Amino acid sequence: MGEAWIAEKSPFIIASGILGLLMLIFLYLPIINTVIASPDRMISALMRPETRDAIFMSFYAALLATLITFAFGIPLAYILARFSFPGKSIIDASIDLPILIPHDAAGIALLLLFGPKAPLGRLLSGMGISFIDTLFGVVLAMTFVSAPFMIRSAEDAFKAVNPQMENVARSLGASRFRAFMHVTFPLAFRGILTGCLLTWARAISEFGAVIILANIPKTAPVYLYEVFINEGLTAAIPVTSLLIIMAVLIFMAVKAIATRPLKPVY
Amino acid sequence: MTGKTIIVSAALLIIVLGGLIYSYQAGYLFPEYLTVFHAGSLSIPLHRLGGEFSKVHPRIHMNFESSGSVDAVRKITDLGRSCDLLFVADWILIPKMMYDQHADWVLIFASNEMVIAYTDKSRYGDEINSTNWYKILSREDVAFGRSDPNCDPCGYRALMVIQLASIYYGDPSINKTLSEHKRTVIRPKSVELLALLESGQIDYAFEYKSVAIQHNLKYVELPDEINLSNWTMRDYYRQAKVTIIKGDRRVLIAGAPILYGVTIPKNARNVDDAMAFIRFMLSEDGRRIIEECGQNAIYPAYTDDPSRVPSELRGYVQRLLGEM
Amino acid sequence: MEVKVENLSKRWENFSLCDVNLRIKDGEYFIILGPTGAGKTLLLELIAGFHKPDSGRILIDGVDVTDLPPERRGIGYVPQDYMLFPHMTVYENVEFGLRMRAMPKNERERIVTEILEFMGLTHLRDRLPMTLSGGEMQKTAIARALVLRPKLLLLDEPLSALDANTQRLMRDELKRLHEELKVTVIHVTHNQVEAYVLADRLAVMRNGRIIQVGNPEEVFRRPKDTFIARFVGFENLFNARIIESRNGIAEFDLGGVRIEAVTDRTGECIVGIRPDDIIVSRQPLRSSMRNTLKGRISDFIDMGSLISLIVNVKSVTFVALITKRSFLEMGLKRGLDVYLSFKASAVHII
Repeated sequence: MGEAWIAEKSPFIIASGILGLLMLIFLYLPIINTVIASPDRMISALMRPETRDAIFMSFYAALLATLITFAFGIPLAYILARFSFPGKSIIDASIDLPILIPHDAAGIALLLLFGPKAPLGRLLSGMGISFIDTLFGVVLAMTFVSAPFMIRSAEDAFKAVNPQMENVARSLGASRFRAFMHVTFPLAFRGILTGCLLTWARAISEFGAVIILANIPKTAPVYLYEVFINEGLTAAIPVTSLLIIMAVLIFMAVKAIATRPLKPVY
Repeated sequence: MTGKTIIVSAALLIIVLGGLIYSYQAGYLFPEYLTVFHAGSLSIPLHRLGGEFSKVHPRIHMNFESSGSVDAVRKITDLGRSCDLLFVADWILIPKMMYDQHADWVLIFASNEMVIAYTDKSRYGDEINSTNWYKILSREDVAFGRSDPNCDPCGYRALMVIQLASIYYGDPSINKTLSEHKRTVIRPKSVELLALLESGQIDYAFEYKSVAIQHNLKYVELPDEINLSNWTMRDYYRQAKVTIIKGDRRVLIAGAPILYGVTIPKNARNVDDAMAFIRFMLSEDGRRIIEECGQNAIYPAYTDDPSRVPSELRGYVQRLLGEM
Repeated sequence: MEVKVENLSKRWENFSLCDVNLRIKDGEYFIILGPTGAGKTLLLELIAGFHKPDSGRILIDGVDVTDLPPERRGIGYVPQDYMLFPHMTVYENVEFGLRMRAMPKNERERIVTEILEFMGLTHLRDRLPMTLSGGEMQKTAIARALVLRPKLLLLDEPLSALDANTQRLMRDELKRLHEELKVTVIHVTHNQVEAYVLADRLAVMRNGRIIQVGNPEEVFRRPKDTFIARFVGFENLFNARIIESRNGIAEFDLGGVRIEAVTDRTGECIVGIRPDDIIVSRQPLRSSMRNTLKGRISDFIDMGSLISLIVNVKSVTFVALITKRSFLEMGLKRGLDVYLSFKASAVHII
């Protein structure tokens, strides 16, 4: 562990070190290069209302997607963590599927169900809710591709809480719901919060599924793509830098919450 | 619940509600749709107009459906579908096919004209101009393209241009030389000629001016008597006659100016926003966009009978001179 | 509170209970003794209400509670490893049951303070569980279960995670609790000493079945079969009184039988002698062993290569373990007199 790798004379270790270094350079160089390219023009990009609107929409739609996932995903995660039922192993194995399929394919799959020609889409648009070029569409796409992060994190967090803890609470007069609210949820809270942040971050950066359903309202990645296509590389650089800095900030928040012991929220 | 939980929940609630109000006002939640059926050749100017229009009216979402002009009309008359705005590449279709059951009025808001498109690579490209163009096309080492008259209006209009050139320049051989030129390439649609032009397989192509501009091609403008753009020349144009085969029938078509028409069909759902769109299109900004896309904006717009035009639009129209 | 378990059967994960019948009397300290995997915890959790039985009934004070959820059974429950709520202080842990009752704050505070006092936890009230020692955690868990004044307390292996010294202290604590609060206790353990010391009555379980029920004397002296003999008969356990103590050697009276052991203790205690530390002979042995007792074989149990001899010395019953070979060589049989010898250091003071 503590040994300097360079002190190793083994060619294997030295080769691994060099290859690893190249990998690191490849990962960091584009990011650093972009960010340092245009600090002054980032401000002027931020001054454009379209940029601010797109960044706000990304954050806001992702927040809605996270809240929706929270409302439906946390119960699912709890059931998956606590109970066994027929078909559970299949659900458990396939819950990550939306992450794995290409995201534009996910968007098309959603379009086939929620599009204006699809029965479900027509039913909903009869109620005034359309998913084409609306916030609903953006949130739908974001929810689809990012929900597994929350479900997975929450399921792991619930599994880490000994069910005996709930049993004790129930023997003390707590109903299942109150045992959940007072014991299981607070103890799983950090894992759930990490899941929320992962879901949120993933939703903010979603492009493929969103653009298939909704070109409007513009989210940050869609806006960036449009700037790149219509105004070219130079105009896209400051927006790119902004998005990268945003992602880094979110990443740091996730790390901070995932590693810092959190004060219990009883 | 601790105070902290309450504060966090309240903050979330405020953010969510605030965002919803903002999104509602921006039309991200329940947009009003403006459904537009239009001729394919108007696709680019209409999309640009729609983009600008949406910036002023964010709640309105444009819904464009592109097809041939006749098909666009038939979607309403035969299929019973509804749209808020109907744009056709030949204005006469509206009075002929829709009066009085499906529409009451028509505005002629733009014209197009036939040009000879070419590139830097075209043979004799540095020589050609509005007066010598037919001589250059007649040369044996020049290849030019036009589209199939049976499939594409641009194709029979190319033949009309050639006929009118014979009349205008007073040289009957022009018609024969150009219509039977050995190195003529014919493609079903005029846009298919663009690739041939750009790759140098042909030197010139008969195109609409709008297509030439939209694809950044050089082009030769033709005299008004030939280019099919001018309403006042309609009698002159009528001298050109082309027989095309439609199905198993032969149809004789007489030359006519290329004038775009728009109407709000009677089954439109969103009449107010449709009116607003037309007003925007006829405004200075709207006309500039049309011109940038290569069509010639007509202002005030022509109409066959101003008394039939809705009062909101009457200030933007003038009566067509003479009979149709 | 009287608990009656009738024909209870349940399969759950790797455990199963098969047709269990039990009757625990009001105010009794009842121990369920058995090796790991016998289904003891499952039985306890069924009584607590965490599972639904596949068949059978559970009656508390004559009322069928089989379909009642745990929160409506009013049973105090202390699981293995205590399961203290790690995000709450000792005070909040103990208060939990009262919070669920929506009791006014000052009332809650009065009761919790009283219980903390009773359990000797007052000085720890604001500590989080992870900062407590094993014994303190156990006391907190018990205090938490007692706060609702249950008439029935379920303890799952309450002493097994504690070191030997703390075990002894907690054992006394449990005894005191039971006596002062007059609460019915069901206590699950795999430890024979606990069973012997604490139980009013005990049940031995194996493979999901109850195989013997009785008071400790009966079960330990008259095991029903070789399994029980091997399992519970592992220790000769006696209540003893120290008569005389000198130079670290004490003389004990086990109800008429006197033995010597190494200890500084005085007064009443429990002593244990492992059956395989006892040497059996037909003639008195000449050796350094301080204890040689004459007794009569009342019974023996064939356990394969080993024989468990039940020997009465006056009114006290000893269990000794010898190989089958020496059993046959000595020609032992029921009614024969033998000598039991063991070192003073082989006597364990519990």
